[in-house]
Amino acid sequence: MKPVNIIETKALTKCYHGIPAVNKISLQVPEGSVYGFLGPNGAGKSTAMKLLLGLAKKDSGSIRLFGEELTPSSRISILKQTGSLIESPSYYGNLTGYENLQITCMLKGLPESEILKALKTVRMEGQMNKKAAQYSLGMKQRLAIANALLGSPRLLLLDEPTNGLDPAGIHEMRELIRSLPKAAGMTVLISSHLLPEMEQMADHVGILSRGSLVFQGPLSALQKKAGQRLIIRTGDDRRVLELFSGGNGPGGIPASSPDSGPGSSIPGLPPSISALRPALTEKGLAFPLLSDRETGLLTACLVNMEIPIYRVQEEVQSLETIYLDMVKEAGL
Amino acid sequence: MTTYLFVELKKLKRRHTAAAFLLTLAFLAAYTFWCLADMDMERLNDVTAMVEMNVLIINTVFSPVLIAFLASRLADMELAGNTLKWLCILQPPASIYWGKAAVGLIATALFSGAQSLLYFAACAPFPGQNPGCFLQLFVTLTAVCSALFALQLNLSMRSSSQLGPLFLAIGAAFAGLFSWFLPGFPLRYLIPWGYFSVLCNLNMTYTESTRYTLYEWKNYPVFWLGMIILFSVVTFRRGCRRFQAGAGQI
Repeated sequence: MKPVNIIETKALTKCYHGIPAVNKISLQVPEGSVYGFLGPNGAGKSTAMKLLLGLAKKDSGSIRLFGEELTPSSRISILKQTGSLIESPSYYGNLTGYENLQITCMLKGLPESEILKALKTVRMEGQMNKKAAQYSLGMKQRLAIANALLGSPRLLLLDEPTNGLDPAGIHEMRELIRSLPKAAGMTVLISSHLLPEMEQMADHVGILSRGSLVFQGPLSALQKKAGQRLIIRTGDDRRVLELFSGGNGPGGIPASSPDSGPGSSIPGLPPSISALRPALTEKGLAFPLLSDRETGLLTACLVNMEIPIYRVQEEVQSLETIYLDMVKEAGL
Repeated sequence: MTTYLFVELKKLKRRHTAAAFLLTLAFLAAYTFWCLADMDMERLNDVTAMVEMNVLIINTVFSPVLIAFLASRLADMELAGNTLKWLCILQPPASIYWGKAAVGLIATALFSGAQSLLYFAACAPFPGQNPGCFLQLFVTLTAVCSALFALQLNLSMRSSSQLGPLFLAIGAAFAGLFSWFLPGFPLRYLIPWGYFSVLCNLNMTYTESTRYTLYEWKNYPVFWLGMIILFSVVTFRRGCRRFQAGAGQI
């Protein structure tokens, strides 16, 4: 069965002074997922979050939350089913933690019994009668999360929720966010610029760079892109690339197949290796990881073609490298 | 709308706004009763007129600052706690603005009502020539304080620091006070702080040789009352529109 998307945007665009902060993004956040919204600072994550919450006016595109179009008239009724934390925590310093949550209960029409539940979740029951102005930044952050959790909303939008938390607090928060889909049936959209954090929390990710969505899908799909690869540094990378693309290289190496398309074979190499398409990186030519035998055949073939080989090395590519490559490719 | 009003009232807890109003009332009561105790009945023709004029002059000095204090308290708690964006998710931005406006209007009505009752109590032993003066005072105070509140609320909601609106109110209070002593000067008609004197329907003539003060009641200036009410309505509506635009609605 196709998963239902709790958030769906189509070609969502927002420009500031003619420069797109969010550029035609089409988000698809499956229900019951923890969706990590990743991107470097200034990539447009917060703007996208603001658009989803109706805090900024979109220039074009559409937003659907819970299957309903977000319009000025439907906005409040839709957003009452959400909990959110945008940028920095919101609180009234003159009120206690409990009284701050009472305000939300009044606005959302929730019973006050929800307050203790939310405070317990973020372990703030002990401080609920203290004025919010006297809270530390971490405690304010917890209060804001308790605020977002009030009434167990179907959708939680959290913008950098671990800001200001100590390592133990970050760990606790991570555990809490991870548990929400199962424990409370919530969907969580969480933005961050920290990939390792997302790796530990999210099951779906969207990578934003310069306002454009450069990747979206399950974390496992991103993880597939990561992994080990073989880096070969040669004296003539261009010739090798042409060889593997099936064309006649400047050195006059003929491709064995006249159609020069995928599947054309290179003399001395089995078709499984001939079909590979290496990528040119800063370190050299990147091939998928090959067995020792295949690596031997490949290097022997290149040596036979009088292409000097300087280095053959295995490289473990982290998810972070993939992410940085994507962001770099997008122009940041 | 009542929810939004109660939310605003709840937010004002521990903001010392009620205390500021009560202190001003206490000062006004003390001053009025001291004036009456110290008064020589032989030297004026109408005690209620004298008290009303005193109440209006005191209000010219204190009300703008008090109203600015209330507006700044209502605005700065949102700015200091970064709560506006969060509120805009839960309620229409216009309701945030009108919630604050309603609190201000209720506060000014209560403050004016309390002063009118005080005026009534203080003048009970001295029957005056204008039996409608208590109601007129209430209308004058409510209308002028509401206009000042509309102006101050808009200023405070747009200022990151509340010192600017507060200093403006102090300066404006002095301008309003000067407008009392410059008869015919158009300043009082041009600035809302001068409307305590514009709406004062009394003439006072002091004869130095006899040291006698003659008070005369005039018709209530309904036209200028309409003008100040119109000013309040326009200022509130403009403020709400600006606030909505700032909230960046979809």
